Amino acid sequence: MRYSKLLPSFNAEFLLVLLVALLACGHLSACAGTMAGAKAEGPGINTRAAGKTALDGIFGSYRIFDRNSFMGRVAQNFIPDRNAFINRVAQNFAKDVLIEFNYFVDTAIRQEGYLSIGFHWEKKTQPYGSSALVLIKGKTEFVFSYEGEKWLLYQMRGDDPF
Amino acid sequence: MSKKIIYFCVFYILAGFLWITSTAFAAEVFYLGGGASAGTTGQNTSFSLSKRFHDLFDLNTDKNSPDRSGFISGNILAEMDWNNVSGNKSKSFLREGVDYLGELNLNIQEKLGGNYHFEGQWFLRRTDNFRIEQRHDLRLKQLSLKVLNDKNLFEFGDLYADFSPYVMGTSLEGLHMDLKPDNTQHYKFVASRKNEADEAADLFERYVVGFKADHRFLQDSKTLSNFRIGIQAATSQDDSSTISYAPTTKDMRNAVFSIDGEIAWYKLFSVAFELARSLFLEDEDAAGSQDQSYGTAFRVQPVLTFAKGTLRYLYQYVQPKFRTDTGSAAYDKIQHQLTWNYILNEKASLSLSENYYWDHLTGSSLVKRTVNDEKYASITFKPSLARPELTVRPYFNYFMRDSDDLGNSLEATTTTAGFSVNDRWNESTTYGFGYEYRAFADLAAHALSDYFHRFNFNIGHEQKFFNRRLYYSFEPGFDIRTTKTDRNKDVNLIFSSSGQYDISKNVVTRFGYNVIDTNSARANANFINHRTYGELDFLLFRRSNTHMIMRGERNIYGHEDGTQEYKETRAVLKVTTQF
Repeated sequence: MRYSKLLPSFNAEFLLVLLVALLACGHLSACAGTMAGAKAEGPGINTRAAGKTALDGIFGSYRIFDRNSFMGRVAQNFIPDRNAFINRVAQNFAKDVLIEFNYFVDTAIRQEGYLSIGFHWEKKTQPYGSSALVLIKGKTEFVFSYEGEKWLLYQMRGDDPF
Repeated sequence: MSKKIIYFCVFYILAGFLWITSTAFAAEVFYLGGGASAGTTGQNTSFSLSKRFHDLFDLNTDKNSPDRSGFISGNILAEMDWNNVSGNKSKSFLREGVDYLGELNLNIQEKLGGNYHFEGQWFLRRTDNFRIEQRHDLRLKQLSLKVLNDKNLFEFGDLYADFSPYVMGTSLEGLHMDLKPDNTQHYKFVASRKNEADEAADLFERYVVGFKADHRFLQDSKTLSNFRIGIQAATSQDDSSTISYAPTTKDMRNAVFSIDGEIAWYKLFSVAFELARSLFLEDEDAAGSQDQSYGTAFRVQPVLTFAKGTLRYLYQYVQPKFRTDTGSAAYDKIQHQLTWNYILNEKASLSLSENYYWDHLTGSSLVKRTVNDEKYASITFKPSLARPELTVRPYFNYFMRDSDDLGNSLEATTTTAGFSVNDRWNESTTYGFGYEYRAFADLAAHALSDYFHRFNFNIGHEQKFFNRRLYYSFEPGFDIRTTKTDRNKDVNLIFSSSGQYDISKNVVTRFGYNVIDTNSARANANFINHRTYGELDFLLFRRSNTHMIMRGERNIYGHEDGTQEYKETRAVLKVTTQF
């Protein structure tokens, strides 16, 4: 979506944001309130947190890969082909040693029983049969479906992080 | 032209929003609620404008109170990273120096007239960390505006549109309407943009329009628990005017139409199906009408449910020229898949699967057919009812691949067998271990064959240390890889540990260490990678969940070839809060 430039200096802006955040928190805490229970969280906060948890789960099972555990993170009705996807992941994992994997969430959208997470990632591997480190970057969308009280991978679009 | 359509849709939504809410108007105060129907079940109470403004910016009282007309919530993140890299800096993702990151997640919820409510969500980010954003100005990363009740949804901004697997299942930017006039009808409409123009990536701006109509039949039938038929269509169209000079960029056009449905008898037997037809033109500017291609896709999935399990069959037929830009399909494929899940007894359940598929259908551009045959079996076993968390899972997977060319050049088998054990030793300790053997035998080019043995172990423990909670976990493992062409082995040793200690009610420390030690069969390829981190998390204000986190990281990559070594040091200061 469209964006706009607000302040010229980012260093000063960071300090300003930090100061405002701390002052706002102090004000909020100081105000006496009879608030009962936990703060109500808007849809954006829960969606983003759920997305990060789902991504941590699937990439965690990829870091120390075994086929059965990874399959448990993929939905039964994964489209277009669940078995072909898992076979490809297992095959790619057997090609190199995964050294580092980082991801940064861009969008988190919840729609009915689906959770769409757009993120970009960076990956560092050393292929078997090679002595050189390989750095790869990409941009991917994961769509999770809610099954058995867990978010399971239902669809993948964009660059393949596996 | 397409931008005008989007602006019109926005105007339409806003006009509709005002029309819905302007049901009562008083000379002194503008009521955004409904009329005098406050007692009607599901209808929102009328609220004055002053009450709405007060509730919106009241950050102290309970947001869930029924007396509130709405609220603002969100969270703020401010982060500063200091990075230092030495050695071969080209092997590091980090850039030396200081990076700043600010993020704001803002949500607004507001009750409207009737039983509608408004949800708005904004996510803004500004950073000079090139790993996160290429641009350094303020970015609106996500925008979502919704007006909805339990039956209807009007949405504008970033959305996920889901019609059917072959037609649409993707994130878009634009307008989405989801309407359920009654229990038998369901309509969806999308007018949106899939991506912006990107000259570097050779992409024109692409627009997507789609609709879906579902009807449920025989709702009162005792025999049929579900009978739905739907039709849906979607078109994707590039706008070649969005890049001024693009001699190599392709101007794509794609349209997909499908009929799908689900029928279920007594919740014991159900069938889901979809039949789709597509039109695809790879480059509209360069092509003649003869370059349009048409394709068909079909899938059917009957499921039999009985007392102790399910039997599921999937058939898919996707022609080589079938294309779907916003849906999902594996082109040029016929697939048969049978899955049987069975509960043997209270201690054991079984899963068996057979997957058989091939390509090179009529009209395919492939030169040979590849046939794939995969068999999978696993058992979930609880040996002792006295230990309900003790679970043993052996599994076996056998995958054969053949091609129909002379010499069967793609002939290969992949055999995977293993097991995992997980258990809770006592209230504070969990453990698990596992082993997997994977053998890829390339029967055509034997040099590509490789064989893996993988071992893993994990333990997690929680205890009191100086009367404070301490949790730690260890995950050691190692892989051994052999090939037919090298007598030496690749041996990878992996060790991960992490922990958390509650120093006080408001201070928590987290720490971790990870090492990968690879002894490669290839000369001059051994490496060892150490990653260590520690952080202090201060809970500054509990009510607003405000945290200040100080984190230090140290990564050391050592390689037999010393020119590839590098070291990274990071210090991070982060403040997050909710409101």
